[in-house]
Amino acid sequence: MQGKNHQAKIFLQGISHQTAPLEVREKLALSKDQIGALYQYLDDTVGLKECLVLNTCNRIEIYGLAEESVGSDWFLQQFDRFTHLDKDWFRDFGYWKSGFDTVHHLFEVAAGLDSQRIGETEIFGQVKSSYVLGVQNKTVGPVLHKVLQKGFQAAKWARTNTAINRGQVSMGNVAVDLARRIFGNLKDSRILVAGMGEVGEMTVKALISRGVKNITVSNRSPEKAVRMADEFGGRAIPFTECPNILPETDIMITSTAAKKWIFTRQMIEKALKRRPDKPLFLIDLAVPRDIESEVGKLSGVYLYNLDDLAEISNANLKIRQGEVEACRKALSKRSARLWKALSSNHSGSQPGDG
Amino acid sequence: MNFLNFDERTFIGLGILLYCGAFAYGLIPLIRKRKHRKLLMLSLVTGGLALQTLGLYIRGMDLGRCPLGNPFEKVQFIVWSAILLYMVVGPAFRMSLLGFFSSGLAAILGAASLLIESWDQPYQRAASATSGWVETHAALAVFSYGIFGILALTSLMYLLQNHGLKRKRFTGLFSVLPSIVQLDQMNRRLLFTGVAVLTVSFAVGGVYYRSHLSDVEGAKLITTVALWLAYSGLFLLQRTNRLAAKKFAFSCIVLFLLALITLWPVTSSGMANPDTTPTQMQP
Repeated sequence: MQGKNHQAKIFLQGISHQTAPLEVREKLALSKDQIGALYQYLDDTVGLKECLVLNTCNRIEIYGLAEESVGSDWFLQQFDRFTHLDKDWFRDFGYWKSGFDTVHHLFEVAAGLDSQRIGETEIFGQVKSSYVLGVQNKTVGPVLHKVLQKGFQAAKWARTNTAINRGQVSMGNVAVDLARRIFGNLKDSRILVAGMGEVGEMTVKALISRGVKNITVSNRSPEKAVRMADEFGGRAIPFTECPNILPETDIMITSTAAKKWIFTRQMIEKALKRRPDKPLFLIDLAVPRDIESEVGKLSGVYLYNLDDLAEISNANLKIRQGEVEACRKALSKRSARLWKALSSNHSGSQPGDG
Repeated sequence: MNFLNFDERTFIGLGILLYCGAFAYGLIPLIRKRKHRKLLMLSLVTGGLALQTLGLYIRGMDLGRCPLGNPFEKVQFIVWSAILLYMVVGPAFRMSLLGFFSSGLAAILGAASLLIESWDQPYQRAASATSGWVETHAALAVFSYGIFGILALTSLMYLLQNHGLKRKRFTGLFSVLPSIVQLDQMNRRLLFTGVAVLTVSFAVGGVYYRSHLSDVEGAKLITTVALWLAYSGLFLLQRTNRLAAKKFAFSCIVLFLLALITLWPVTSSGMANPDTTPTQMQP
């Protein structure tokens, strides 16, 4: 493949959160079997030299290396007999990239620049899993292998050398980040959950994902408390028991529908006397608030409410957004370097050449 | 004694320069909100420690004893002890930021002791200084100052982290500090170690001074015993949970500053002792 032609032979057909609404994206979520079938279809029926399918909740992207220069119309025509994907979705909401743009796009995706939450690192793992699956299906050859390996390196570089993933942006992860600043390792932390809202649930799940095991749940409705405890693998206690369990608690998350403060300064002070050498992290997610604001002035107590978490989340997002352009430029240099190497390596009759 | 035609102050100066480099290297990424490479930080501090050790070794060889006779030597030994302790504590407890603070302390104290010429005047060795017991006593006492120096740094880190969490600051320095619990545990361990080393130092000194009561210097005895009592009292208050972690950290910083001040009466009384052997040290 000549360097010039090579550009047309590596391509990408995709749909993502940038181009399609949720209603469309949810129809594109493929099961593991369907992805396997897609790989087989791309290999056997479409006859691509190499391909990789990246399927997440926010995108489906097919990276391919064709024998000849191809365009979007040709590629979509190949989908007539593949029942799990409707080519019209790609036509109406999709995007097509070829050559250098494909390589650069993959670099940006792997680094989290194209993600809904800029700089998130989950996508890196998802691209890696897709790569592993592609290798297992024997559809990733030398060209895509090199592009992906360099993409992983570029993503790691961006994470280390820019602030693109600095700070947490989801409320649950912001709370976990704060908990780690207080307790370090959260494995042995004891959590008390009083009431439950959406953000509260997110926070508990984020804490569990960091190894928290000791969870106590309380709710005005005992049935709901038991249900929540089952969900989180914790234990349920009557709502009135909350103050008694406070001395044995490291992190308390409250989000009840109470109209006034449930946890007063006096109540917390009493609990602190029984745990003098340990800090207490209180996350008040209720509106109106469950915890008296004066509690935040107590030594060893760290009180955060919904606004505090939102403020941190927004500030972190702003930092990340401020890094996008610098990060994009750096990735562009790296992808251009790779593209130049690929073009020269695969001129003549090298792998990936047509 | 020279090494490669350089005297001991040159090596000590180069060591302090590397500590300054480590401090600057840690400071710039903090200002630019970037991560620093831990390996380079550790390498700079290790290089500084190696050069400073060489410098102190040369001076020790010239003196024929541990170099702890004037403020310059004592400050250098404290800095050396603190950095040595960081090399053990920092990587083991994954406190890379402690390297930044330790190199800062070493750079400030080390540079001050190099720049203030009056701190490194020739001195006369006290007769007692020839005793192995007294040398061990002095070395352990100054090493405990190094421990209290690191304790002051981890306490400062605790207060900064506490301030950041209370005031909802989360960027820059605040985002890279170790956790409150980790710092508090570190403070407790360092205080215990410091008090233990100082106690052993007193016990070792007691073996000699018990039979040489006339060698005991009043000002030195009062200040060091007061310091030992203060740190021991702090230890007891903390152990019995009668001191909140924030006040504990604050006390550790204040006591270290006081400890540095006590160096002067301790040193000057040692140098002014009339019962001295007129052995002069030329810096």
